[in-house]
Amino acid sequence: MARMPSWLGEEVDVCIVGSGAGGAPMALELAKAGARVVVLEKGPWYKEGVDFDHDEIRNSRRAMWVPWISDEPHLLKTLKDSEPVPSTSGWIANCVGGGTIHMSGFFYRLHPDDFRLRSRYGELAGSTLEDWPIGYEELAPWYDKVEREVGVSGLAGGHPFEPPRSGPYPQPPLDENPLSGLVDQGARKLGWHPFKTPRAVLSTSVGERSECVYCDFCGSYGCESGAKGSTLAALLPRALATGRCELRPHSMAFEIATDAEGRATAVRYFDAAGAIVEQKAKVVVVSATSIESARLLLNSTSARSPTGLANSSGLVGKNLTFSTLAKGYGVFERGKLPEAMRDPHTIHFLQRSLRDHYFLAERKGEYDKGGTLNFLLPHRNPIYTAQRLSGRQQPALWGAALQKALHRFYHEVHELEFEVFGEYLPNPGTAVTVDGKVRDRWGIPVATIHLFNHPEDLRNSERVLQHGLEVFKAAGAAETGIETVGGTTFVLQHGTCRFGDNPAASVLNRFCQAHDVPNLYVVDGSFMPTSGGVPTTLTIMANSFRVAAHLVERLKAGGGEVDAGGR
Amino acid sequence: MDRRTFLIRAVQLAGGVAGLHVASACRRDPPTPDAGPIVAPPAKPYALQFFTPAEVPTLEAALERMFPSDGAAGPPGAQAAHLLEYLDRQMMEPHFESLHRMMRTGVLYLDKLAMREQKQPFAALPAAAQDDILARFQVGAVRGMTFPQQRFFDTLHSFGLEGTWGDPKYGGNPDKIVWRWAGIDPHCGGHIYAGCGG
Repeated sequence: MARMPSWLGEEVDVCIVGSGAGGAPMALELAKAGARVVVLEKGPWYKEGVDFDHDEIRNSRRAMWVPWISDEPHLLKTLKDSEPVPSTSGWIANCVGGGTIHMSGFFYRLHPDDFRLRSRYGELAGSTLEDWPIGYEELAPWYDKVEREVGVSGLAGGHPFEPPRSGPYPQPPLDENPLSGLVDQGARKLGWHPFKTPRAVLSTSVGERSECVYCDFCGSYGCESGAKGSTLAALLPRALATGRCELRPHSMAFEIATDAEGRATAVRYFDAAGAIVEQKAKVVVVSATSIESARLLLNSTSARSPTGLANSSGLVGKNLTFSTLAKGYGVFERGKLPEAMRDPHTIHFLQRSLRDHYFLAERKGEYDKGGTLNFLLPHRNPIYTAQRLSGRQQPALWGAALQKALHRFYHEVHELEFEVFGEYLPNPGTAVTVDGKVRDRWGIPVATIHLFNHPEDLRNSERVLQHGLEVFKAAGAAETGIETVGGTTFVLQHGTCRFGDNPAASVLNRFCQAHDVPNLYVVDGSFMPTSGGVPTTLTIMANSFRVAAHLVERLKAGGGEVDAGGR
Repeated sequence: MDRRTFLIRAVQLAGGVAGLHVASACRRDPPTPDAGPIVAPPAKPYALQFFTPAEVPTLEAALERMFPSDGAAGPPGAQAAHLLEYLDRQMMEPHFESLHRMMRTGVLYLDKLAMREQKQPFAALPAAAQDDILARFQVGAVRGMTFPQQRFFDTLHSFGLEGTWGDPKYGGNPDKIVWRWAGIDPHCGGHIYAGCGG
């Protein structure tokens, strides 16, 4: 591999803030095209095979991915709070690779109607719903590209609700636990169409990346084999191999500098030692999560843009959306299951989804947006397992009562669960603001997250949840229950710099270029006017490849922007 | 033990039911529970760093009720899982300094309440009376107490769960005793882990 260049103190072609789902595709494509690229990542650079393990205390209960609340809080403001409260919610993963490191990698595509919900529903009370400026057909080739570049496994044509696609998945489906048969039985009895969940996990090895070793610890953990399609495993090594990409961990961007004409000139950041460094660049790409990218722009004030960079519309930070969360479970007596389903020590992937309720039949003609049901085996995290069982009753179980529940879980039954990924309608009550009253460990004003769930989302997400429980009942569950209803999946973030053709009603144009600042791009989930009813990592990556192709064309065409041939 | 012997032993322990499946999944080497007997390893001497000898009886008694050792078919309890050691070590971690005062005060209040109501220290009460006090802390039902009793209960229980079910390197769950009870080993993930069934 080429030695990593060092361009400290020099102007480069492109400076990218963030190395996750949005930043890494840009780094790869731009470096391949000959641009000199510096990627700033606020977190550490964990190494596969060294730093990734199954230590739950380290991975899930301390500060491996998300900073200590005392060092870098977010402020969370819901209707019930009179004042915002410090929270760790809203961080995804502070490390090279970002959220793609500890994602589960459920790589579903959006539905074609996700790009035109405003047209489908018209004006919806209490929501700032907008169509996307592009349609599914414009993103589809880039979905294909991500599936190839990252290595997505799945089975095309598995169900009637599948968004159009040009061909099979590049990787065959993963092996799965025999208990997936229960979901198939239950769902089919109800006339629904279970299908194999597409995953950004290799079922066959590719180059130096190993096929999945079925280690049981996928989501919430880093992948030790390189099978998971994180940007660390799948994209960044190739960007670095060009010799034209420099990746700087422990680099916390706090301001984008601009010149008198309002063009971005540099990114200012704190390095590992806490010193302020300025990285000059001809083009700046921001991809630090929807919350943190908005914070960075809002903190980048100047005489020309006193309310924040690229904010002449006043929409930076507005229209924040997440994913509406609901979770349920089904309990099956091991002794009553067929023999093939009894063994607790087989593959942990269940790999079943339902999109029959993406649009709810029972609400036809109204606001019928539902979501995706993703069926899983409960996470193997043992501390979390005990806490989850404890929290099933109020007050929470402890002592002998909890021990009894644990015995049942580990020795008598199999539990299956599902997660609902539901639409999160953009609304005036959900946004990011920065007021400067609370600062992080560097003294940078932190983001306040205002949270308001649109009542239609809560209603429809609960309907989808009930359909999930029906599947378990139809499959013969001894018990079913609701784990979460009306929740928010904070790690799926969108909307704070929505894209559109009208500069007064959007922050970015259709190529995710700031209307106000021609050499500034935002490529994390911020561009998305609506959330969709699926996890959105695939969509963010696809869009980033799309924007990268546009930027490469623009650089090659010259326009005085960048020396595309490089040095 | 070679791979084949291990698999045979694992199959036997699984009662034969899982036999076919383990054999057919050899290519993947699925995690298999360690086959050792579930007994507490001899306690290694541990010198407390945070809690004082005066606090130990109350704390041990509270942890024992939260994680009983006598639970009929339950997992190993507080004593076998070395929860006191785990908790004491965690208190020395830099980010938990903020909990010091609450933890000390909480232990003190358990005892104070026992003395006030039963004229005995918490550790000397019968189990049912200890459970009653803890249950009132859990829901914030001890009247006239400005101390954050619920937060104390939740914190103590949460650390107890971590010690019980977490990685042995932090001082709890010695020799994976709790994982073995459950038939799990989070370290055993796929065939790349030498020592996990191979």
